[in-house]
Amino acid sequence: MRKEALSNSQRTFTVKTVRENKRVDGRTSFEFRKISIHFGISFGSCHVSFGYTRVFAQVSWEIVKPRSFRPNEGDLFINVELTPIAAPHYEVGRLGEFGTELNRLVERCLKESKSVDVESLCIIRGEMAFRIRCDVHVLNDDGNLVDACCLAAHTALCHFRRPDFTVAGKDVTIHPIDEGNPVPLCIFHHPLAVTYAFFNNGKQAILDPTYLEQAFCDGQLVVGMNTYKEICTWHLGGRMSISKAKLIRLTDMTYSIVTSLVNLMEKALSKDAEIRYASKVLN
Amino acid sequence: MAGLELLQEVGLRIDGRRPDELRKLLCKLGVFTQADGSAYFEQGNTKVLATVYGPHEVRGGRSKILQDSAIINCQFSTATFSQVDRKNRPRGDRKSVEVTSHLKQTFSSSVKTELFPKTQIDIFVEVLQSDGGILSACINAATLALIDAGIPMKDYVCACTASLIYDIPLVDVSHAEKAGGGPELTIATLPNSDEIVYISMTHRFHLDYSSKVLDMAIQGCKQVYKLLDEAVKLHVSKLGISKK
Repeated sequence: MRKEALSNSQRTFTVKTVRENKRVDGRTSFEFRKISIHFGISFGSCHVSFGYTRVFAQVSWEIVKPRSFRPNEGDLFINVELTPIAAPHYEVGRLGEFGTELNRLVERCLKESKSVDVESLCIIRGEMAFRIRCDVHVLNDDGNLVDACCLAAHTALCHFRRPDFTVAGKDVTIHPIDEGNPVPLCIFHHPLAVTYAFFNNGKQAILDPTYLEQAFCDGQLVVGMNTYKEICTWHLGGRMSISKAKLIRLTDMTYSIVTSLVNLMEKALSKDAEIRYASKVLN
Repeated sequence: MAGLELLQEVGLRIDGRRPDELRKLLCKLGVFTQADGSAYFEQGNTKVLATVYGPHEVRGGRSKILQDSAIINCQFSTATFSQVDRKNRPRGDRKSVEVTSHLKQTFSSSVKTELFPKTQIDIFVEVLQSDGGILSACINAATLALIDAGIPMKDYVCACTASLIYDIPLVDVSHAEKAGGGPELTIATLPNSDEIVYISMTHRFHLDYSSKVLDMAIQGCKQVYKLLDEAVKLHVSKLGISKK
């Protein structure tokens, strides 16, 4: 299906509202929508929503042979699915430009910043290793998919538990999850992405754009950062240019935003751990 | 490559350059007769060819026509012999699609597309030899090809890469330096106004170094601009001369 055509009156209204330092849904320029994080029954399933944008991530594992040029490392594979569930103009199977962009951004922010220790996933050097696969499904697209997918994927990876294993010579025993203590992944740092949309020839920036704001903006800047103040990714998209000073200023601002997002994530994780522990004790 | 450090104590890199030195650049414009504009660009061992067709009628359906500006259509492909291991798929894999969309974005914001409504401008880039800094070489080559085609742009689009070793920023990283594991920042600027039109980064570095690394990359872009401008002026001065 073709993308729904957006009218000029929608465009002028949205752009004019941002120009007056307001937003159509009543937020301020640098305010997030309501963010909620929920977990499923199995380890590694996480549902994140930013207002009406909903994303679901599921982490799974399998045993594979490590790659020949990295024999002592396991593998982390992150895949973002954009299907017609999210919006009618997405096609099944075909990723398209936007889907590839989204996939690469999430990969760059989470995988290439080395947030997960892949060396600890190796079982026998050169022969057996864990391959951790994180599938992110976009359930509803109302803008700001990059932030939502990064948060969902990373939270799912933090929530995930892989089975424990013992090696005796050449014999490897993988203990099933209900028998042995499942082991969490070794996560070095928490990288999360923050998107800014620009209006008014790049002069005004807003945080967490909705679908309409993204459609009418001049361009977007994605900054990936972790709580140690390290920049994990920078990406400029759309038809605009940005000066170095503005880039540095927005990147500085991202640190406090990422810290609050990580706090939210950790609170949700600890609440879920409490509930699981309580139900285990009662049983 | 045991024993080879990315940055030695005397301040020299693997290939003998100083941290703020670019690799040797070679530019040739007008290398093909069929294309409206073409260019061959070398940056060290990275060799890239770019051709431009247009502005011409939009191909592929009337639904793609933009009423107020031209469409920029890019295609990026790497020759199968361009890397150490044979690359079986010249185009269509994820990284190539990503580079294609980045090229498209960069030039959509720098070519004056509002002057040619309802038309299409094609930019084809082919990597002949790959030694780091592919995207920046492609952007530089495409800029030269667009100038050769006579398409109006806001300014030259000059691109450069930068990295960080310990706390020293390096400019123009080669493949060996990138494989060493350091962060790689690619930016494209409009050199006369220092506005950044494209930025992308892999791995990570600390916020406190961001200003230094950005400065180094912007300086690199200015140097590239000087060389590109010289090449264009030389090419134009020879255009009217008859061959003996």
